[in-house]
Amino acid sequence: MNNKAKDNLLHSLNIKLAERPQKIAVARESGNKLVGYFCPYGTEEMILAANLIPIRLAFGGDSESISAGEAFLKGHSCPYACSSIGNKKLSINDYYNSLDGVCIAQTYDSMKILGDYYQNYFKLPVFPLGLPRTHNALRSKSHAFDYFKNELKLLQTRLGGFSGKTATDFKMHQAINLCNRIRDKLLFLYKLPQDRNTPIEWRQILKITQAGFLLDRADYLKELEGIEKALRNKSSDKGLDDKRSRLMIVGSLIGIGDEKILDIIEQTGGNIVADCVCTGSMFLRKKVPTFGILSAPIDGLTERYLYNVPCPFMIDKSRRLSRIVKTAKDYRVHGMVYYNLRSNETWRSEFKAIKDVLYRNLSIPTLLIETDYSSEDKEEITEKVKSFLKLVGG
Amino acid sequence: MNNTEQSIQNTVRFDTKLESFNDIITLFSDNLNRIKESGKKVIAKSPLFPAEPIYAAGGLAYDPYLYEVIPALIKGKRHLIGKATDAGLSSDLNFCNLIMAGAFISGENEISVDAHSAACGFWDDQISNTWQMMAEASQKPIHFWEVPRFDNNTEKWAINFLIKELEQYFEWLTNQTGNSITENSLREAVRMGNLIRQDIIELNQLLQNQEILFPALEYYITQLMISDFAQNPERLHVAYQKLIQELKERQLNHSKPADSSEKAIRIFLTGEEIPDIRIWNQIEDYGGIIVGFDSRMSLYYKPIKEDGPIIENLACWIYGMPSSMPTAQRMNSTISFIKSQKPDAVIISSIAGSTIFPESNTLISQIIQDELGVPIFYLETKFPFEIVKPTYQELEAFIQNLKDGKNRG
Ligand code: SF4
Repeated sequence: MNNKAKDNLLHSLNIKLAERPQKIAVARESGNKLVGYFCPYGTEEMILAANLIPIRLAFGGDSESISAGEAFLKGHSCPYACSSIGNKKLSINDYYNSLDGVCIAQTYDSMKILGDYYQNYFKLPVFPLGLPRTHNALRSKSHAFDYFKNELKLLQTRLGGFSGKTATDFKMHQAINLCNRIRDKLLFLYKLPQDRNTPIEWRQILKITQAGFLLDRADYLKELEGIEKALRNKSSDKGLDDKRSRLMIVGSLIGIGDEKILDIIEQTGGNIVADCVCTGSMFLRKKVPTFGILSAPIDGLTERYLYNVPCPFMIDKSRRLSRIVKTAKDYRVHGMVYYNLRSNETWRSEFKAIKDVLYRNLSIPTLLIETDYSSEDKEEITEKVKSFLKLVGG
Repeated sequence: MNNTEQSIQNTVRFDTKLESFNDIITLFSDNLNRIKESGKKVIAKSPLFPAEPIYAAGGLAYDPYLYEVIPALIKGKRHLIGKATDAGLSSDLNFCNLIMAGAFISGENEISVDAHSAACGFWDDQISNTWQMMAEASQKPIHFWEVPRFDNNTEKWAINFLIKELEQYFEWLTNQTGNSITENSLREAVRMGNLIRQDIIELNQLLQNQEILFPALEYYITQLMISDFAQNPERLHVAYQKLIQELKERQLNHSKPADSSEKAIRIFLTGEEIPDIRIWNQIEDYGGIIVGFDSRMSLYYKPIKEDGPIIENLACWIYGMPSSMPTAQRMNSTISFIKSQKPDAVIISSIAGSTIFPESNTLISQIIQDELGVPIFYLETKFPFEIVKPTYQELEAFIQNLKDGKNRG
């Protein structure tokens, strides 16, 4: 797809994005509240069901916000965590400026500490969500399900109290259906690059996904339907002649605005076709099960969030590893880029295991990129990627 | 051995007149023999969870964060860091975790353990990553159990969850040691553990006295040993009692170590452990005295209730451990301890590469300022110790300033 066609495809989505801050301002003036969340475990269905506006605060790539955040965290903290505080402190991001509260899933350390700072410095209501991390694929810890279900119930009550509108089962069903349909549409898009003839590239799909963190969910679904329609029966303009190395990107969250590694890969002739990052397709796989209108939606939510392919802050890595191997195989990738935000130990500690399993099973090599949001290491990373692409070929 | 390690051994000074400390340091250093003699299974445990279940299962608890790291630093085994990073851990991790992991990965661990158990909770992610790696490398079984987040509104289901976690942990321990944990064995282990907790509480109370009784380095080592009860709870309790007795006598006789001074600055240390053990002597040399340190305070924040359903009591106690709380709540629950020690200043200590404590420092210092209004000094220990920042000179200047103020006042 050429640049003009790309622009056309996302034209309507981009307009909606540009209008979004203004729409949020109007909604807030008429009494609606905006609740931000950082991690997909933040369970946006809950926020929606309580008639609140969910925004995933997945902004990255800005070194100024890191510096502002370092005044609270520390010089060598995870750049995403730093900028998640810095963005609030700097008051230059419309979404952060409009926050009425934040929902924080208790995942890795810096994430937990974000809650401390939002509550104690920015004086915003914080809705924490406890999340068991030692349960496993064999489900030998049934009490983890009960615990998490109770945490979700508490969140439901707290969010309902905050908005003044109870998150009833009916509203939860509606929110679940909406989010499930969005996931379906996105999964459809992410599957397209399996084919060399794909009418859309992974990087564009990532952009579309990231837009969804900010837009009104019902509007977003309409946009996705439009995009899907436009893409059906289309094929790539590069087609089978595309000789670029097919890459999979795995690791830390790639935030809105965090373009450095993606630019480098594109400019050096690599082609990302698949991912395992939580702002991409990693977390889309499992839908919230709905067992009819009379079923308890909270059971479905518990099931989905607890037993999805887990982020590495969860201890059992078996499903994670097999998922990565399967994805690499399905997308016929030549190499894996392991994107690790500096000091993000959650992902870093799993690097070797992932690298080894991929090589052992599919002979696919891995390149580790450890970086932050500054541009200082751009040349160095470019050289590393170039050599890697030479190694993996196309 | 390089200069740093030589200087650690040569410059560390103990109070030779404090005779009862000999028993403590012997317990610290002769664990290899003790473990061999016992013939019991050794279960490694992460620092911040109670050792009682392991003793209730007839095993020996072993805290490698204590017994692997300090000796490795003193012996100059800095190559262990390389062993850990070669195995896949990031070089950005807390270097103590790297040293501990490196010891097991390379097989150079001081003590050979039969199994590993670690608690995950509201603290450092690095614990889970490091322990997983350590167990995999040494091909020993590992069990993780989990402490849920603390929140006044979640107590009911959080404690139910914790009871189930403990039951599964007990089952695993039974498989490792061959002994089942009974109501009685757990109650007895808790009773013994409480005696040790009471000892530490009493030791801290002695530090509330204006005079210097208990030198800093000795205090540091003594309170760390609560983590695993030194593989012999009974002996540790006896040693603590003897120490308390001797300190009380010192108090009665007004006898103080030679270099102590009336105008010494009372310093409370909060945060993480300080692996450069020379610092404890240095603080005293600059004119400070240590009146408390809370790195292991979660293990003795209060005794575990002994009457009634013992597993539930244990679960409730674990749930209330300050280390499981968000920063503000944690500080609220520890601030009374800090206040009771009547410090003139607080040092906030962290280890380079750690997250949860250093990242909360801004909030911690604000709470200390609001509650105590005393000067604060941040100490981050890096490795090698030559590049400790702020420097020893800055620490000396900090204490000197306070002394000048006290002398003027
Ligand atoms: S990487 Fe994991 S913990 Fe971090 S935001 Fe994504 S899902 Fe959450």
